[in-house]
Amino acid sequence: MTFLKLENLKVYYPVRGGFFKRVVDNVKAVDDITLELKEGETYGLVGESGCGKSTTGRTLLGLNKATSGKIIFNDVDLLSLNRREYSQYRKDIQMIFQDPYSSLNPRKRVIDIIAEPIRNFEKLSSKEVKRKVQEVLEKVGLSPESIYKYPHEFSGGQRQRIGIARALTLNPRLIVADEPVSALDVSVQAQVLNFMKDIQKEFNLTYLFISHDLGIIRHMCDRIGIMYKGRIVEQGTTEDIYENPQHIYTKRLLSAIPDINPDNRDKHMAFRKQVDAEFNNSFNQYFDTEGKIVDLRPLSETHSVALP
Amino acid sequence: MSTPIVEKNNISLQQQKTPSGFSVIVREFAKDKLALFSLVLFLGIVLYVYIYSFMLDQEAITRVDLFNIFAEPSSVYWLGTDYGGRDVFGQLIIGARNSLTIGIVITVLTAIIGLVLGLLAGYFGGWVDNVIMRTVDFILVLPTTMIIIVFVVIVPEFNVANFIFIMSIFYWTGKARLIRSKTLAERELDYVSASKTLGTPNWKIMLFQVLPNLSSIIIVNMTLNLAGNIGIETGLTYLGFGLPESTPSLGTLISYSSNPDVMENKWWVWLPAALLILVMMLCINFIGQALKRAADARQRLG
Repeated sequence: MTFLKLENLKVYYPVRGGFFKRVVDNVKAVDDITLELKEGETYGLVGESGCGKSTTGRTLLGLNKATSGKIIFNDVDLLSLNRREYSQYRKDIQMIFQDPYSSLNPRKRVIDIIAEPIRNFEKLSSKEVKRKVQEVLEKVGLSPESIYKYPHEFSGGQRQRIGIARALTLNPRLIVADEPVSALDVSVQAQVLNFMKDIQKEFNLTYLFISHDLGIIRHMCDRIGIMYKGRIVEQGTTEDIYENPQHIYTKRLLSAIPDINPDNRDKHMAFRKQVDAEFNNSFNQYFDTEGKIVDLRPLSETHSVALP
Repeated sequence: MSTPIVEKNNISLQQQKTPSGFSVIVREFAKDKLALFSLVLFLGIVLYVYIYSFMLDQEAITRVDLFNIFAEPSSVYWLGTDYGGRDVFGQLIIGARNSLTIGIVITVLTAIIGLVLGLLAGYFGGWVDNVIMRTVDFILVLPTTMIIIVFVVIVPEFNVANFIFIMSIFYWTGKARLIRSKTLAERELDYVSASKTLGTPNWKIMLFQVLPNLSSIIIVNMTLNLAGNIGIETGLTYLGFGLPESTPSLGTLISYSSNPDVMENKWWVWLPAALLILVMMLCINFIGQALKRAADARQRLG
């Protein structure tokens, strides 16, 4: 049984121009990617800004329209479902948003924010709702007394916890975490990340973890996909990627991680120079004749890379 | 030993409850004495006008009395009489009622139409947005004043209801545009996406998530519009395209001042109406300001 599989997923945005606003070109935000998630694992999606990782996550939730491809969840293609059929899978896939400031409605009290999914899916009395909200709040480490507060009365880290609490209320099976900590400062980042790890064990959650911070990805993820220009250029376990990078883009990403140990400075510098030279020499071989990144080719059972 | 602790806990629990909605507005008015005074004065005027106008006989007041033309204010005619010998005070009360009714009903009607269409256009975008906004553009290019004047000429019996109808048809466009533009900005925020992923239907997101965030702009716009709509009514009537003389309005009273003799020597005919309009406009604006601050947590005084 497949837990989640994205198959040849494409998300194109038409560029309209000319006299009758014809479609003259497409922006290929996500261009033919295929990836699979097993239940209980954390899959990291890494890449530079604008490479399509957030779009992938949002498409998975139905926030963006896919141009073509399949999103198979529990052996069902979500993209072929109509709205009513889709709603039963809504509970299973939830999202943690990047910006804890805009993802909470400033006009709603915490109880209303967290109770929103409960009110949508479960018929509970207001007392039961309140109890459940307090339960969830306690789980994310916030005081159950603060249910009548507004979001602006919390700090960034606390707000992100409210966002996580909201995603957890429906007991989802898959959570798309779209750069969940990039808006937080470093001390709070660790707190939130470790908390996410804890609840993963507790609820047997699967994460699709989107980030551009390689340190966080290494800390959190079991498997990693490196995205570049809407395509996955390398995919493998954390070990595969960090110990044995094959694609030039992955190498460049990894060489960009600063090393704080002064003894390694020369070694690190040499590595960077080597990668740079390789980049200048062999950059073109990673693209086909149309300038598109070539398809993935398996290197080992877990490791595959976009090499010609 | 244990009881005081429980009590203490209860107190801290109550303090953590953030006041919402009405109590915030009450606190805001308590802090802003000018707004509170305006509110009391405005409500007083409205109540007085509506209750007192019930006791007045419009027929008797608009009946011409040739023996009392331009009588000065006296104990019989508190504010004197106009060129037809009609009681100015009675006309002032009934006129204020008509003008207020027109202003309030137009504001509410245009707000409802503008709100619904603006929300739909802004939230859904695409062809829905296109259809609604092109309709708005179409209405905006129409020469509104001309059409209202023609309407006044054509309609056999021109009364308050007709006036409200013709004004509402044209004046919702600005609101629809305003609300659409704010909705466009709001729907891009993550909390709307979050609501979608949580399975909230679109109409609920529009009404319960987006709309509360627009409330401050709507309230401010509505109060300012209320003042504006009363102004439009009196303006049109002043020009002679509003309500007929048999239906008194503040504009009718002020329009008597177009006669230089009335303007210079018979101040009691037009001055009370002008002052009443001035006071009401100021009150509405001060109230609007206070509501605006109450709606925005960062601007609150209280």
